[in-house]
Amino acid sequence: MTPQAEQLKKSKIFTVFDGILITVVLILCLLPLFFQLIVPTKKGKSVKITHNGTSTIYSLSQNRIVEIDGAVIKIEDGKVFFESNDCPTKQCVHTGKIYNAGDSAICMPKDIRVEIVGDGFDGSSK
Amino acid sequence: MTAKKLTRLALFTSLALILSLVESALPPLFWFAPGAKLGLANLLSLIALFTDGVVGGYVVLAIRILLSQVFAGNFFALVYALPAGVISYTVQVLLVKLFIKKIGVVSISIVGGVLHNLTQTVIASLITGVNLYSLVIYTLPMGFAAGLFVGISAYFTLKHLPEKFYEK
Repeated sequence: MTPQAEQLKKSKIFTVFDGILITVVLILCLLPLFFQLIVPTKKGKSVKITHNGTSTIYSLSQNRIVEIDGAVIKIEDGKVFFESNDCPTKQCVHTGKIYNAGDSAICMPKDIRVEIVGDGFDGSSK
Repeated sequence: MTAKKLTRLALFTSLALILSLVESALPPLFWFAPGAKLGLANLLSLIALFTDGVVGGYVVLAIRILLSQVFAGNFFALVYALPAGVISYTVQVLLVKLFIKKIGVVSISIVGGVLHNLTQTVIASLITGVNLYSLVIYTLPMGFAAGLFVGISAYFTLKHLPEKFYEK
């Protein structure tokens, strides 16, 4: 039996140190959630669509349909979403409508990135 | 390598692959990274660490990650699955070697689970060039839960494995 196995056979399932470690890790895991709740989300102003290295920025205030490489992206009522795509997984379509600065929808197989750009306050525009 | 050890490791690897399959049937937690997993299969690497040492665990880890992507037909996922598995497991090995007397396997597994998901998110973010860090909001707690589940399972499994099982 390996030394660590022997050690485990002797030990209890939870010790005080366990409790401390778990609490610390739990707090670290929940920190991002607190930040999200405290910092108000910025409404997006425009959307940046990047495909194979080229980016185009469209304003969110105008309804538009953008077709790239078999994917149909709709800008409607200040929100953006993949209406349809002929990719295998369709994760992009499942993402649904995005509208907050920093939100994104991505089609990895086709290298299409759709990102909402705010006015730069929270680092959402690059 | 004895036949017993070989069989044991092979058994662990196939069990890990079954867990991987079960994991992929769950709704995608990592929608931005197809093929990214919860990390339940780490249960077997962790058990292997206790039955066959650090190297045994690495063997199970490497083979299960490679083969799970062969089965899924998604080699690209190796870009985040491999580093996530290696980093998560290495940290767990260090914790076990240094602190096993003071800390139980449950909290070690929790750290491993969180680290696994964090690594996947970071790498997917670097690859796509998009800021995906807001997604740690739900990937980290899920990693915590997965680690907790794996840790408790590992503890009870190892506690009740018969002496004969550990023979080299």
